[in-house]
Amino acid sequence: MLASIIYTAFKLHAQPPSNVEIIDSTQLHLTDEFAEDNLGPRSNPDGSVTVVLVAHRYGFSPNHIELPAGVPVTFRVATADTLHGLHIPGTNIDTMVVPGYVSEITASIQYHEVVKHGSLDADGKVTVPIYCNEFCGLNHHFMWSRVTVTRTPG
Amino acid sequence: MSKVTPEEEKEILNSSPKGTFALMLAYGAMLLLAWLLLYFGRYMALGPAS
Repeated sequence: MLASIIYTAFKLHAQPPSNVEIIDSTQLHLTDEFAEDNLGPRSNPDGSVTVVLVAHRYGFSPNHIELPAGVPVTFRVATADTLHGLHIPGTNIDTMVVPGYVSEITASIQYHEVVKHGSLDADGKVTVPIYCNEFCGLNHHFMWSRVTVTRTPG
Repeated sequence: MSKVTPEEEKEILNSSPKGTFALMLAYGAMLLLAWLLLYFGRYMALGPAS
């Protein structure tokens, strides 16, 4: 078991999210990265995607994002108020969003796995929910948004 | 059920608990198999995250 964990940690980079980066949660709108106009996914020159999200009572901004399957996606998430979580079913994207810190998690979304958890449209796009999985207040159970996953060619 | 003679009883008490060892081995193997199935079949199948 230990050998499997060590092998996958070093060879496949399967590790717990451990980014330590502090930010003032009350001033997110004044930062370049977490300002409202700069939220959402953006493509990087190497083909990977970076998604910047703000979690707040009771939702995520932006509320709906579209991501390609099979490419590395890095989520950078900060909370504007209290403790939140971020979980996308059918993926290993699952992290706490702690006030005062930027949570970062990188994973590649597997199309054949998310399709089991979402709704498939006629174009082959799958829409899955993004859940908050840390109790954050009375309306915690209403805190979710959506991600649409597109199948990458090949 | 046949009665155990004093010699047989002494032999049983002095021998190693083979049945217990066999059960420990079987349960250990089942635990390891279940862990490997969950780790590689469920967790790693979703793609590694870091």
